Amino acid sequence: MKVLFKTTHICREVCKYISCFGVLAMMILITADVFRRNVFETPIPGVYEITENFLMPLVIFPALGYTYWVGILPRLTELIAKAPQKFKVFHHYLLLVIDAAVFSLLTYYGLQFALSGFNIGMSIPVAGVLVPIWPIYFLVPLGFFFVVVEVLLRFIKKDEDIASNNEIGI
Amino acid sequence: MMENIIILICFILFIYLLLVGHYISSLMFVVGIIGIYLLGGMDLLKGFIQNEPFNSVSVYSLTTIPMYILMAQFIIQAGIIKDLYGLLFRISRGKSGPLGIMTIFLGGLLGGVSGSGTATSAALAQIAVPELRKRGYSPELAGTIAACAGSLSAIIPPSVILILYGVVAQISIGKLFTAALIPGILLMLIFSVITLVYLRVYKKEMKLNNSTQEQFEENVPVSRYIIVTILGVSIAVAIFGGIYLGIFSPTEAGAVGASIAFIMALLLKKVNWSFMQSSLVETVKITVMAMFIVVGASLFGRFVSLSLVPRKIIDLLQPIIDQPVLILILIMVFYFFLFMFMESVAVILMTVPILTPILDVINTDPLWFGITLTIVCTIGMLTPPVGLSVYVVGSVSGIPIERLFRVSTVFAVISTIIIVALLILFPQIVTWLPSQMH
Amino acid sequence: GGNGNEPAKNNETGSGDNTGATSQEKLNFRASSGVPDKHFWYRGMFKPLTDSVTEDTNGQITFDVFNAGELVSLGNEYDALLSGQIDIALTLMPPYDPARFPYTEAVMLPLLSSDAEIAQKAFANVMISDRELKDGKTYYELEFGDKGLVAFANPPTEPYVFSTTKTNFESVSDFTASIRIRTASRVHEILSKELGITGQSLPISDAYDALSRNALDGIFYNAPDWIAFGLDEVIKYTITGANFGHFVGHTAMTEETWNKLTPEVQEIFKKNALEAAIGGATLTKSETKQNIDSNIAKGGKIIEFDQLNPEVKTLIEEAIVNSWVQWIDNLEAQGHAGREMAILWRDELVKAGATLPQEIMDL
Ligand code: NA
Ligand code: NA
Repeated sequence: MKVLFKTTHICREVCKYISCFGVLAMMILITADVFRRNVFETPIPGVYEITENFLMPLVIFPALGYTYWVGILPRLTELIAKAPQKFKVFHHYLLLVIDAAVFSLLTYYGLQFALSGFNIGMSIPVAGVLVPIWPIYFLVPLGFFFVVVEVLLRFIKKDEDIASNNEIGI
Repeated sequence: MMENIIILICFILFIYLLLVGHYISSLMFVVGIIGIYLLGGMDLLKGFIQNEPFNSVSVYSLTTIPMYILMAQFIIQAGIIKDLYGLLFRISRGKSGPLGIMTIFLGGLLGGVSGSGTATSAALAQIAVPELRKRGYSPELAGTIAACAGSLSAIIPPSVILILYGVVAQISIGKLFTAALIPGILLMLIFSVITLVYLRVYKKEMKLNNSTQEQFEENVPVSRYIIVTILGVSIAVAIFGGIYLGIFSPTEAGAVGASIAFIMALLLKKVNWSFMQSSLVETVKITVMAMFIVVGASLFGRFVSLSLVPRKIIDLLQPIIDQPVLILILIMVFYFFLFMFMESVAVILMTVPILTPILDVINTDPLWFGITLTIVCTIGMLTPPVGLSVYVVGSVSGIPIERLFRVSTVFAVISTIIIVALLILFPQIVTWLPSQMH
Repeated sequence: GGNGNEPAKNNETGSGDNTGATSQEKLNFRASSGVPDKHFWYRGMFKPLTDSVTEDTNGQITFDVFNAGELVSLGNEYDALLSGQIDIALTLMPPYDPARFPYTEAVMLPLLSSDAEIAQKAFANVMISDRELKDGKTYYELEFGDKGLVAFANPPTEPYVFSTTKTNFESVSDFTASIRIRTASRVHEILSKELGITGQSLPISDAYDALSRNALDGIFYNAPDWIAFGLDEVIKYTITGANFGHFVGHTAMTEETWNKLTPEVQEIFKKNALEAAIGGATLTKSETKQNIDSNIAKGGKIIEFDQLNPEVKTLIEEAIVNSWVQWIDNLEAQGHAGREMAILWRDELVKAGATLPQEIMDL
């Protein structure tokens, strides 16, 4: 059990910093482009395509699991907080089952999406040159897979957490 | 008939999952997936699950979300806003009203550099809510003010909604931007007036908080105020100047603003490992949270499109086609409810192409309509059950969403009635400024 | 330019016999277009086509048309067809996806003169041409047949023209890397490089903002779409008389979907698609003048290619020729029959009445 928690913790941290790197890269790339085209009158070619197709997925998908874990995702809590304990526990598990199913589905079909991109060597034009984009496609199933892991981890959380309806994480 | 049953099932499922506390993002996924499955089986569903997540994330205009949040993070972590707020508080001599109004105008100002309400709401929730609360505002009022101020960026140009409307209805985006300015400022004024009335009504509650407020007073030297004022003004000038001189586009402004804010933080000697870490991690958290909803909403939106719901509702308008004002009021009420439930971009893309023929028939100016629609959409970000601004403020500030909605809905209903009535009675509010050009 | 429903009416008189539709089972197709309903593709092709097919099959074939990317956003139609999200792609956009559709880009190659009607005629012939490009396969087989698709050409746009907000092309020195031009495809990237300016890709919906705020200096675009995107307000100088390519998309479905139609209904579809493409080309051509007039009324200046400074003329002519050479080389390097495709497109263009530089005629 300890090994499991340790492993997931490391994954979470790594993924979080991949997304952080994406944010920083995006800021630097866009700023550098603005700077170069105004000062040296030569924009960096392909910034638009790189930002949209490579950096946006790099920022979003790796950190899906982390964001789910942090408990920042919005939801209405008032009604369920006032509900009887049995109702609360039932729905706690019901919603977890639903999420496990939904994100497993998204993982599975995300993998199909990535594999079909891989099979045809999917490429897109960046500043007129074809660049393979399929490696980025694999971030989609990976991101959703980490959400599934976080959902499953909540199943083995202790009961008092459900009682107080606390979020895991921060 | 079958379709109508499916729509009903999904509607009930949506409300049920919402009330039992499912994540908004998850329930959009669930209802979207179940709805599409019921309409077309696995054959139809698998395509949407495969393609939608990547396609809805890889959108350039959405880079405004991480970049504006990063800019806000750098500004906040450098302590600039906190000190500016302190200064505003000193200027307002302990009176709480002016501070709330200044927050709303700050939102309008931030809206002038942002295309989406989500990003500015998140920024304001971080910047303004703690300061307003320290100065005696109840959490739900402080949060609502931040949400209102944040939502303004949907109407104050540049605005993704206006651009989308311009593209779909095929009218000049420049004219739309010009036309939106006066109504945007009007909405700002209406929000301010409602805030003042609210403060007057709940004066007792405010006084109670005021007594505990003294302990938050900090001893900040005047020189510090001068420095942060200069820095804050330079960031604003650099961003506005940059956009209006064409040095960078409104979308790029977020990234440039973040870089400028980073340099400011360097000058203030605030940059270290923990500054970088907390700024970036916070940015990732808020961005991914918002995008989680965007992806879910996009899948849900595809279901709504497939179910042909909007078309069916609009078909019902056909018999009263000779009463334009009645139709317009009905359309706006209809939109008010649609924006309650759905993500605005999806609503615009879905309905405007179907509505434009009706507008032609009843001789309504598409420019006026676009602005009015965008106003209703702006306000729709404040209403339950799907109120993006409120969600963002709620999750960033930790104020329970349902408490926020109680106040924000009051703001939304009152301001909608006032401004839509004004726009119908005096369409010049929209058309005058564009007519002054050329 | 009215709200052209003419093609639909023509069809009514054209196909009197509906006997073929009787054995056709009732089918409702989900069709997706990435452009708004005011776009000439919708007015000129998609509406006339879907209406006339429904009518000519006595309502056996019906369509739910989703516009403006409401169901599938522009450029994602091919994947949506494959995965079954939609039955019919009204805006399959090969030029946006050159990795999978390498050949259709040829339509964007620059030339000297042509118009939407000429391009439509030429491209319709390319679609049915039996000239073998590679491995004994025709353009249609390589681009669509091999992928299990059935495709019909939508009306091509009017010629793309070169417009700027400040530079009026008085001398060759006006063409520098600091001039940033919005491009719509790889071909325009090549063309920009050849002209010595910088190509920048950007969605068309951002073009107005970028041009008006000086974040962009110009654009390659077709005049009939100017007013729709507000470009007539911001464009100050435009070169007409040199043609920087046409844009073309397709209406497509999988063979599986196609085979659900009886041979008679397939004929109706084919015939109506061709008539709608012809009508659509005429419609967009008829809207050129009002867009140019609107630009002139707002202070735009139209410069005829023949009136340009001879040096500038030479530069543009050379860029046109080099774009073809460069494009052919690119495709050949990727193992495609770039040369054969370019020659096929050139020959059909010339047959339909277009003019090209002599160097391209000599290819
Ligand atoms: Na804005
Ligand atoms: Na709402």
